Amino acid sequence: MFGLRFGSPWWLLALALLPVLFWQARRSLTGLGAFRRWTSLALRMLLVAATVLALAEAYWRQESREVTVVYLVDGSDSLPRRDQEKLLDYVRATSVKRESGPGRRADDCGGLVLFGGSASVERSPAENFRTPDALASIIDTGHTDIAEGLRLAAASFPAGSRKRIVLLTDGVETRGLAVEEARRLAELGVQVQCVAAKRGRSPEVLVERLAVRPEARVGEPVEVRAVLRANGPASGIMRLYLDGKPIEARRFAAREAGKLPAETFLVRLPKPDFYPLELRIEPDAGSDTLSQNNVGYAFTHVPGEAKVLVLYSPEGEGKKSDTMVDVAALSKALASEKIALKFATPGAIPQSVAELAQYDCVIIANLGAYAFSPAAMKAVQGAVREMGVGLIMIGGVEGFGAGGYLNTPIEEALPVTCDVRQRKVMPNGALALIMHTCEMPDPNFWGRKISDAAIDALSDLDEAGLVYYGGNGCAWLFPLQKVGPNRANMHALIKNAQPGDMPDFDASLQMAIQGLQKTQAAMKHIIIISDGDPSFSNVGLLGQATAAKITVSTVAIAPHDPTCTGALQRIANATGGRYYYPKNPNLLPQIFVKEAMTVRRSVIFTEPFTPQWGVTTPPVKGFGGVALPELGGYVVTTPKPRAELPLTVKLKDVEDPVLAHWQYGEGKAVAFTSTAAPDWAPKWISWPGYARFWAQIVRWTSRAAGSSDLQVTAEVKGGEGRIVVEAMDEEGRLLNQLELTGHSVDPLGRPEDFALVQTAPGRYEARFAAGAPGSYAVAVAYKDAKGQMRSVSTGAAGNYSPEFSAAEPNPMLLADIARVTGGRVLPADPEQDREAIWARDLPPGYRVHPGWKWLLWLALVLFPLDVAIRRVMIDWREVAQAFRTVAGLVIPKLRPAAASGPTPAMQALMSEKQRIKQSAPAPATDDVRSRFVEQLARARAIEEAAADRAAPSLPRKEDIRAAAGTSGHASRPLEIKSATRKAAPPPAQGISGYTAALLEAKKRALKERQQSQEGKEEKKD
Amino acid sequence: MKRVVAVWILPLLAAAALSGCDSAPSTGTFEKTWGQPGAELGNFVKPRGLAVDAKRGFVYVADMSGRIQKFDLDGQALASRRLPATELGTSEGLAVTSGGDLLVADTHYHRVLRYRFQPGASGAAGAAETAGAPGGVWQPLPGEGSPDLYVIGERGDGPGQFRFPIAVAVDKDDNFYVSEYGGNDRVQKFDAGGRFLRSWGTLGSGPGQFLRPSGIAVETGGSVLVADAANHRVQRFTPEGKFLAEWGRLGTGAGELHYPYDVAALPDGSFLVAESYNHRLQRFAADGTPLGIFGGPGAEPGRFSRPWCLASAGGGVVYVTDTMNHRVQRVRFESCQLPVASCQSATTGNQVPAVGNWQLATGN
Repeated sequence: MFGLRFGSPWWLLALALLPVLFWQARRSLTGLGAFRRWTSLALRMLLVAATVLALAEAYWRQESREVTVVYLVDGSDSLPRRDQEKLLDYVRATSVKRESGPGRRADDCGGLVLFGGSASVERSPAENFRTPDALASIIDTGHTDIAEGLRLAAASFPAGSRKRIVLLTDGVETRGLAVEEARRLAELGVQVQCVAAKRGRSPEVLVERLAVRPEARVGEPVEVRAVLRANGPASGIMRLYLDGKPIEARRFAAREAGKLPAETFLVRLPKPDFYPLELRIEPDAGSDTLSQNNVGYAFTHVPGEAKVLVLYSPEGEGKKSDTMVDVAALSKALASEKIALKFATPGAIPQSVAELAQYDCVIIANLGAYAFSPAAMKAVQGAVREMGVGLIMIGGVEGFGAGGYLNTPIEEALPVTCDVRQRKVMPNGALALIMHTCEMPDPNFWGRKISDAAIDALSDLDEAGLVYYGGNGCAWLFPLQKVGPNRANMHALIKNAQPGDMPDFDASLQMAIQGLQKTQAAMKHIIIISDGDPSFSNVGLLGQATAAKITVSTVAIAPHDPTCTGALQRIANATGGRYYYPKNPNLLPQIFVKEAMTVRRSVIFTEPFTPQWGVTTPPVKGFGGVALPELGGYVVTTPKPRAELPLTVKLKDVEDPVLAHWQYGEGKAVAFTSTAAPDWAPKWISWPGYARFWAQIVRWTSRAAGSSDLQVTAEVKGGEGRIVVEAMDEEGRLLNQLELTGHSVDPLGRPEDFALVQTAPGRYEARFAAGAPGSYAVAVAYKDAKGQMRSVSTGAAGNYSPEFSAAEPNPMLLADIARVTGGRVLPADPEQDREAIWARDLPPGYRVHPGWKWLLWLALVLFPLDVAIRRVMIDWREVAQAFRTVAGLVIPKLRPAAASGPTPAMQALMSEKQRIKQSAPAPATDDVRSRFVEQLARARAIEEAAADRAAPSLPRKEDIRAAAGTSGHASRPLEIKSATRKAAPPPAQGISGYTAALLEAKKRALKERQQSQEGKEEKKD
Repeated sequence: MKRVVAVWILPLLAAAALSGCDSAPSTGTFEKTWGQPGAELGNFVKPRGLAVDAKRGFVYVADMSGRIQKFDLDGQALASRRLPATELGTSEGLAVTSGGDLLVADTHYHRVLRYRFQPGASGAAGAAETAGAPGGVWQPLPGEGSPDLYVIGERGDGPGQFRFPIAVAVDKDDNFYVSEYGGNDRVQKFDAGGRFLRSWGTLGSGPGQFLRPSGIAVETGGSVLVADAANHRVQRFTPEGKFLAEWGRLGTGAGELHYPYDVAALPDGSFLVAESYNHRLQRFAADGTPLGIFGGPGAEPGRFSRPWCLASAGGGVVYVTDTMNHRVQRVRFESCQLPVASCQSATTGNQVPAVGNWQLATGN
C-alpha cells in the first residue's frame, strides 16, 4: 500500500489485536467524558498500530532514476603512457553533463577505478565527478587483472542506483578470469560496456626466450638458445652473461616484423655450480620503446661433489698480531683433494637459511663474530640444525672467544663454548665504558643497545664499569666489577640510566683511568661513545692511559659532526685504540663485539705445544696415534658435555680442546681451536698428512651431496614459481609419504620457505611467489631412509612480466565480457555511440528508507499523551482565565473585568446565611454545629419532659442516636424505633426553621410508629 | 601573648628589616614558570637557548626539537619556527639586538643566523612589510628562501669562521660576541654588520683560556663575562678582550661552581651564573664575592634540573631554561637599596668595593 513494504510481515497479524483493544478500552474508560474517551481510544489504537508496524519493519522503496557509471581504466605497463592518456581523454569527453540529448544528466554519478595487477578507486562515484587531470592511485602495473578491476568497480557503486561499468583496456589479461567475474556482475545487474584501447605503433624489439638445458656436466659444451622478436625493422647487439660475467656478444638485425631466427651460443661450464644466464640486447636508436623486455634469463647447473663455503676476511687489522689466516694454504690443500671451495668475505655472507642451504659445508676461518649480522648468525645455526649443513670453525686471533662468539647462535651450534668458566686462574679483561648519548633523539635506546652488546660480549670473569654524566655530574653508573654475578644488574642499571650532557671528556676519562688502574685485569680497555662534541684538553691523561697499558677506542655517533677531527680521534690515536664513525647505528652493537674482543684476547694462548690424541673418532679415522707436528697457539674454550674430543692439549693441570666435534640437529659441527695459518702452525703446512687430514674432516662434516632419489624441476611462469619433484629409489619404486621442505631465494636475495605436497604417487608439488625477473635458487630437503638429511638444489629463471611482451590487444575478451553482461564493445572514438554510456536501459535501482525509527518515535510520543488524556483534568475556564490575564498584561483592553459580584446562586446562599444569622440569637460561638447541638439539647429536654410524663421507659440512647442520626446520612430515611412516643410539644420559640423542620419530621415519624404499633396490636388481638 | 610579641618577635623583625641587603633578595624570588615536555607550541623538548627582547616584550627559546619559540614576557606562546637545518644538532645560544633581530648560534652548522625582526607582526614571523637586509656581511641563507633569515660564518678556525659556536651576546652598540668550543675555545667580536673585529682565547685552563666557553654576558659598563664551563669558572674581560678577573672552582659551596653554562648581568652590577650540574643559580657581586644561591635540584617551581641558559630582562628579572624539567622559569632578583654596583655580601657582611676597582680574586 502506497509503496510501503514490510521486512517481517508476520507481525502484521498483531493488528488483529486492535478490535480487542477497542472493546476492552470501551469498558474501562466509561468514566471519562466522551471527548476524552474517544480521544484516548484513538490514541491507544494508533500507538499499538505504530508499534506493530515498526516491528514488521515497515520501509518504503524509492526507485532511483539516475545512472552511475564507473570508468574502469587499464593502467598496466602493457599500455604506454600516450595510449593511457587517450583513455583519459575518452573519459573526459563522455562524462560531460548535458541538459538534453544523449549524455550525462545532472543527477547522474560518475566514478573512476584504475587497475593493473591490483585495483584502486581513483574517484568514488559521485554527482560532481570530474575527470582528474592526472591519476594519483598507486597500483601494481606489472600485471593486468581485469577480474580484480571489475570486482572493485562493482563494489564501489552506491546503493540503489543503476549501475554501469565502462571498461577501457587492451584486453591483454595476465591474471584472473575476467569473463567469470563478468558473469557474476551480470547477476548483480551491472552492465559492462567495453572500449578497446588502441596501442600506438611504436617500434619494439624484445627477448622472447632464452633456453638452456637445466643440467650439464663439467667441461661439456652446453647450447644456449636465444630468440628475439621485433614488430618492425630492428638491429642491435646482444650480450650473453654467465653468472654475471659477459662471455659473448653478437649483432642482430631484423628486416621485418616477426621472430628473428634463433641464435645459439656454446658455453663451457668450468666446475660444479649453479649458473644463471642472462641475455641482454642493446637495440640501436629508434628500434625499441620498452626496455623492460630487453633481457632474458635462463638457468643451468652442474651437479657435483659437496659444495663448501669458506667465510674469511681478506684484510688484516693493521697490527702484526692480527694478521688474518692465509686461507690459500687450506684451499690449496682441499683442492688437491678435489674439494671445490667457494669463498665469501664479510660483505657477501649469506643472510638466510635458504642461501646457506645451497652448500653442504660452511667453514668459518678466523673470522670474528662482528662480521655476522644477527640474521646471518641465526641462518648459520638454522642451516646446521635443520638443513644438515656442516659447520667447521677454525681458530686464530679472531676465533671462538677471541672472535666474540660468546653467547651467539653460532656458539650454540659448536661443540665448545667460548666461556672459560672452569679456569679458576685465568687472565681476564676489564672494560670501562664512557657514555655520552644525550644529544640523540632517544638517548637511552642507543646507549642501552651499545652497552648491553658490549657487556654481553664479555665473559663472566671479565670486569666492566660504566661512567656517565648523571644528575650530579661525572659518576660511575656501576663501578668496575666482575660481569658474572652482576650481569643482570648491569643491564638493569643501563636500562634506567638517564645520561646527561657531557661538557668535557677530562673528568670522565680521569675517572675511568683511575678505576682501571686499580684492577688486576690483564687487558684494560676504555670505550667512549659520544654523540656530541665534548671538549678535551688534558693531554696528560692520554699519557697516563698509555702508561697504564690502557687502550681507548672511541665511537662517534650521528648527529655528531663527522668531519670534525676532534677530541675523539685524537684520543683513540694517542692510546692505540680505534676510532669509529658508523653511518648506520644498527652496526653499533657489532662494533662493540669487536671492541670487546680486545678484552677477550686474554683467551688466546700462544705458546708452542703438541696436540695429544684422545679417542679416535670417524673424522680422524686413520690418523689416530700419528705423531702430529707442533702448533703455535690456540684459543681457550670449554668442551660441551656431548662433544667428542679426538685432539686436546695438556698443559700443567688443564686439558683444553684442540679438535672437537658433535652432532647438532641434522648437521655436524667441528671446532679446531688452533689454526691452519702459517703464523701459528708453520710446521703443519709442510706436514704430508695436512691435505688429507683436512679433506677427511671436511668430507665427514659435509652433508651428503645431491640425491639420486629426487628429480626436481622448477620453472617460473606468470609471476609464480612451480616445483615438481619426482621421488624414486634405485629400484625404481616410487617414494611416498616423504616430508619435503623447499627453500627458494629470489633474484633480490629474499628467501621463502614452503612445504611440498604430494599430488600423485611419487610426485610432490609446490608453488612460490616469483614476481621479480631473474634467477631463483631452489633447494628441496628431506630425510632419507637412513635418517640422513639430504637436499637437492636447482634453479629457475623468471622472465620479465608478460605486460612487456608487447602482445596484441585482445578484442575477443572484451566482446565476451560485454556480451555476458548485456553490454557492447564501443568504438574508441568518444563522439560515436555516446548514448550507450549514459543510457537508462538498465535494471532499476532502489533506495530503501526504513520506517521503524519514525514509527517508534510516534509510539513514544503517543504513550504519554494517552496517559495524560485519561488522567489529567484541565479546567479550561481556568486556562482561559489565565490566558486572559496574561494577555491583559500586554493588552489592557483584554483585561478581565474586576470581580463582577457574586453569581445568582451565590447571592441566594449568602442571603440565606444572613437571615439565619439575624434570626437566631447570637450564639456563643459562630460554629453552626455547636449551635445546632445546643438547640437540639434544648429540644430534647422539652421532649423528654413531655415523654417522661407519657412513657417513663423511653430509651434515651436511641433518642440520642436518632437525633444525632439526622446530621449524618441524608439519604437514609429517618427511623425512630421508639415504641411509645407521643407527639412532642410544639417547638419552642426561637428555634430556627431548620431545626423546626427536623422536629416536624420527628413528630411525623413518631406518629407513624404509633399508628403501626396500634395496627399490630390490633392484629394480635 | 602581647609580651611574647614585644620581647621576641618585634626585635627579630627589626633586625631583619635593618639588615639591609639580606639573603632573601640576593637569592631571588620565583615568579613564573611555563612549559611541559612536548613538541607542541608552548611546550618544550629540552629547552636550552634563551633570549629576551625586553623592549618589545618577547622571549625566545630554542629547544632540542629544532624549534625556536616566541613567547610574551608572561609565557604566552606566540609563534614557533624551525631552524633551517637540524639533523646534526640544534642551537644552544640566542641573543637579541636592539632592533629586535634574533641572533642564533647555529652550533653544528658553524654559523650564526639572524632573523630580522618584522615590525608589522606581533606574533608570527614574517609580515606584510618586511624589514630589509641587515647590511654588512650578512647574507640571505642560500636555498632556504625565508625572506627574513640571514647568516654569516662558515666552518673554520680563522677570523670570522666558527667551529661549534655555542653562545652569542649583544652589547649596547649592537656589536656581538660569539664563543666557540670543540677546539677553538675562543670568543670573537663582530660589529653590527657582522664584520670581524677581534678574537681572544685558546683551549686551556689558564687566565684568558677557555674550556668550553658556553655563555657570554655583556655588563652595563661594557665588560664581558664568559662562563668557562669545563674550567668551572667565570672570567671577565674588557671589551677589547683583555683579561681582568676570574672566579670559581669546582665544588658545591658558595663561590664554587659545577659546570657553569651561562652567565647574566643584572642591572645593579651583580651577575648571575647558571650552574648546570649543581642545578642552581648563584649570584655574585661585581667583584666576584658570592652573594647567594637560588634553587637546587628538583622539579618544583623554583628548583632546577640542568639549568642551561640565562637571559636578563631588565629590572632584575631573569629567565632560565630549566632543561631537563622542560620548562622556562622567571625569577626576580631585587637590587640592593645601596648605590648601584655596591652590595653587602651575604657571607661576610662587609661592604664591598664598586665595579671600578677590580681585584684579581685569587682562590676565591
